[in-house]
Formats: sequence, C-alpha cells, structure tokens
Amino acid sequence: MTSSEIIKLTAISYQQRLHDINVTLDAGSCLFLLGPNGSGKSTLLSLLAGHSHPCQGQYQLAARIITDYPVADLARQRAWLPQASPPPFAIPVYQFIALGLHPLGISLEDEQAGLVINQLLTRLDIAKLVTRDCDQLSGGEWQRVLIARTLVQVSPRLNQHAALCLLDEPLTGLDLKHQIEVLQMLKEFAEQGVTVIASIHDLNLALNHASAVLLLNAGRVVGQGEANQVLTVATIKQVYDVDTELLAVNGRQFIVSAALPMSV
Amino acid sequence: MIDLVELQRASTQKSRTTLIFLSIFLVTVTVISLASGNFSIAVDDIVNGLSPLQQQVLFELRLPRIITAILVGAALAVAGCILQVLLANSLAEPGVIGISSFASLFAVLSIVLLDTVLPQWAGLQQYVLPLSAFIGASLVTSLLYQVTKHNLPTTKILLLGVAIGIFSGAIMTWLLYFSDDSSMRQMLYWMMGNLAYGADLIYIAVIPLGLSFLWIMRRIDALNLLQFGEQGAFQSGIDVPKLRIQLILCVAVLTGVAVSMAGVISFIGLVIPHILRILVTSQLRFLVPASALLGASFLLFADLIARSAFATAELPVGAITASLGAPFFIYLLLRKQDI
Repeated sequence: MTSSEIIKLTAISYQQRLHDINVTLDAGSCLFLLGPNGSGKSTLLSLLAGHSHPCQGQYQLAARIITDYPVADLARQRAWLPQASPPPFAIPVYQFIALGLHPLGISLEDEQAGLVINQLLTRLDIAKLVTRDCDQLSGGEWQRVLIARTLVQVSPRLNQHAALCLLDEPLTGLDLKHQIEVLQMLKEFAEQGVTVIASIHDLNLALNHASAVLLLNAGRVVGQGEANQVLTVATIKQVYDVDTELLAVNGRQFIVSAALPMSV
Repeated sequence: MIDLVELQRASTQKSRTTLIFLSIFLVTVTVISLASGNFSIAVDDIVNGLSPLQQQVLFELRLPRIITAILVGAALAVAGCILQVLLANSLAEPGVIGISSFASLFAVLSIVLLDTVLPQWAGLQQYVLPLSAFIGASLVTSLLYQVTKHNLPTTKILLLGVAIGIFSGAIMTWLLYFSDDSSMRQMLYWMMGNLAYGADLIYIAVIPLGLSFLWIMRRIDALNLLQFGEQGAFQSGIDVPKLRIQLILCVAVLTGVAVSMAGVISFIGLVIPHILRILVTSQLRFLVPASALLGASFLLFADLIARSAFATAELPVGAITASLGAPFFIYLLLRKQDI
C-alpha cells in the first residue's frame, strides 16, 4: 500500500445491490462510474459517502474505517451530491450554496469563501441567478446550484481536509457546454488532490474526458481502468445489451449504436 | 464579482424589518383585544384611572386570555414550521395530521381517568393534563416520522394523519356518549378549541414552550440543512437521527402544551408559515420567529372575532381558525401539482 491511497474497499457487499466490490484509489484520482440503470452506481456512492454501511467487507477512507469517523469530521473530508430532487422549500440561491460552508464552520463573511463561491458561480454560469429563489429554477439550473454547493464544501482553497468529492449523475439535465465545464472543473479538483468519483451515463463523455472508469453491472465490477480499454464493443454488448460500433474521428473514439435493423 | 456579504446583509436587514413590523402588529392586536369586548374599556378610562370592576375585567379576564392566545398561537405556528422540516413537506401541520386531536384525546382521557378512577389525584390535574397531551402528541409524531422513513408519498402521510384524527374523534364520541353533562361540556371544549380556560396553565406552559423555542433557534443552522433533505444534511455533518428525535420531542411539546391550554386549534401551523414562506423566505432563522409572532397575532385576532362577533354567546376559536384555514388548505392542495 502506498501512502497516497485514499479509498480502499475490500470485499464489499450490500444487500442484493452490490457484490464483492474491491477497489483502491489513490488521492487525486478522477473516477467515473458507468453502468446501466440499477447496476449499483448510486448505492456505491452512498456507501462511499458513509451514508449506508456495507453488510460485508470493509471500507477505509484515508486509512481509517469509515464508521470510525464522527459525522461532522466526515463532512470536512468528503462531499456527496445525491441524485437531484426538486427543492421542497425556497431560499435564495446564494444562501443555498452557502449551506456548503456550514461543515467548514465559516460563513459568507469569510473573504476567501466569497472568492471561491464567486468563481464557482461564474464557471457554472449561475451568477445571474444568485438572488432567485431556488424553487424558481429550471432542472439544469438547479443541478448546477447543487454542484456549486457540493464543490464549495470540498474546495481545497477553503478546506484543507478536503479529500473526496462524490457526485451522483451530476451531468443529468445539463446542456453540452455545461457538461463539459463541469467535467473540466472536476478534473481540476482532482489535480488539486481531491479525489473525484462521479456516476455518468454518457459513454462518449467518459471515453473522451475520463482518465479512469469503473463499469458496474448488476452490482458487480465488470471493468476498471482507462475508458478506451474498459469500453469495448464486446463489454458494452454484455453489460448494456446494445450492439455498438467504435468510430475513430481525428484520433478520438466514439461509440455509436450499430446500424438499426431495417424497417420491414 | 458579486458582493455576497452585501446580499446577505440586505436579506438580514429585510428579515429584521419584517420581524419588527410583525412585533408592532402583535402589540397592536393585543391592545385592541384588551380594549374590546362586551364590557367596554376606552382609552380615556385607562388615562383617568380604571374602576375596580374595569381592573378586574382587564387583568383577571382579558389579559390571561390574551397571554393564552399568544402562547398557543406562537406554539402552533412554530410546531407547523418544525413539522414541515421534519416531514420535508410544506403541507404538514399538527391539526391536519392528527397530532392535535390525538393529544386532546389523551388530555380528555386523563380528565376522565382522574374523575373516575383516581379522584384523590384530582388536584394534580394541571400537571397531568399537559403531560398526557404531550404523550399523545409524541405518539402520533413518532408514528408519522416512522412512516416517512419508508418513503411513503405525501398523500399517504396526509391521509394517515387524517385517519388518526378521525379515529381520535370517534373515541371522543364514545366518551361523550357515556359522560355526564359537565364533562360533556369540557370535552366539547377540547374538540373545538377555546381560549377561555387556559389561563391556569400559563405559568406551567411558559417554561417548556420557551425552552423548545430557544433550542430550535440554537439548532437553526442544522434545521436549515435538514429542510433540504436528510441525505444533504447528513453529508453536511448533521447527526440526522438524533436531530429528528429532538425535533419530534419539540413538536410534541409545542403541540401538547398548546392543546392542553386551548384544545384543538387547527390550521395555524399550516397557514402562518406558508404565507411567510411565500411572501418572505423559507430561511428558518427568519421563518421560525416570524411564524411565532404572526401565529400569536392571528390567534388573538381569531379570538377577538370569536368573543365579539355575537353579543349573546362566544364561538369556539377553533371554529374560526378552521373556517379561515380549511379553504386555504384546499386551495394549496389544488394548486400544488407535486404532492
């Protein structure tokens, strides 16, 4: 084991949803979880967040068993964005994003916090929404607000303990420009040493933007490694039950579904 | 670059102004309540000195009743806020989902029990009454919380609450059927809500109500996180199961005390926070104290109508709040698509 190992999952099983998961990750990795609906991506993220606990096996975060962390300490180490649901109550967007500061024990008065939030607002293109109530947003806007709150919590500039950022389908509902921007931001977080694990559905984004992927099917790890090695035509057929072709354009690879059956 | 500190300051300022305005409003309604009634006391009477009879009316009848209304109205409105956070649902309210009626059933049962089985303990009634109302309220609150944990849709939770309300109504009817004249009046008072008899409990009620309110304000940041979902609160470092148990106790204390003072008064916990959420914000640091102030004013105003609308007899105040609140509730049900 190396000193930079941040996550170590040993023989994890959870109810009927995850079976015998063994994964280790180094600090500063950026891992994308892939897999069909119901393959266990959300469950795995919830386990990694320390929200649900494995029925069997052991999960160590920074060489410490997850259940040994007090909840408040855990909140400084990792942030977790569960799948988005619409906000039940309305407060202004900036106040909602500032909820991400709570675990760090600072408020908007903190100068550095103001800078970090402003930068996130600009990059996520939600600066013009700050005074709007959070129930007055479109799905994609709300998703970006949620991402902003999550990233504030583990921003290395505000939080020196920040170690792990978990996002469940952060790209859902975003248009292409914002998808690419979010991916870029996640990459930057990883470069600054915050391990990022996010589930996504778009195989082509994974192929072109991800350094590493973990492919799940029916609660088991089917493949882990570089996207272009894991995502082969044969694996996709096996996992997603879809016939595909790999196209190479300008040195980049794309997955497209194979020619549709001819209409009769 | 957006000056977030300035935005925050402006919003705090707006909240503060609204709270001051609500306080002035409460004082105004209090003064009007003190002055109105069948027995008239004019401003120049106060300036020129009151007659002994006027003093008696003012300090022994009206003032205790007004304090009761303020305590009960504030408690119910705050209980509504907290219940909405607990069930992550803006339609939750102690009266609507059966907490108040179950608490009042327990209160009535304790009266019956003291009357029939343990008459030697009758002197303890003023302690036993709030306590049993509290127990009844906590039973229903924890039941509803257990149910929400299983991700039941809102409609089911509301229906469950309504069923609990009907059930306690039915038991109450049984008790009515077998009771004599005097206890029948007392029971009717529990079922319909009335502020005339709560004055004895004021001294006992102030402490638990005040402590609950202070505790809520101390944990207000955690509540703000919780109202946007249990997972989000957990990942922000909140010990959610512990907080929820404390909130259940809080709702039970607030509702139990309110019911033991005034019987079942519905819809305050729904209408008041809702109006403030729409007009101002759901930021709980503002919403909770504002609900307390507006809830107190609203119940005081409703009681003013109840005791001065008809010269011959006074209406139960619960009938007034329900007549105003139920249409509002129906409107919300019809307007909201997502419940």
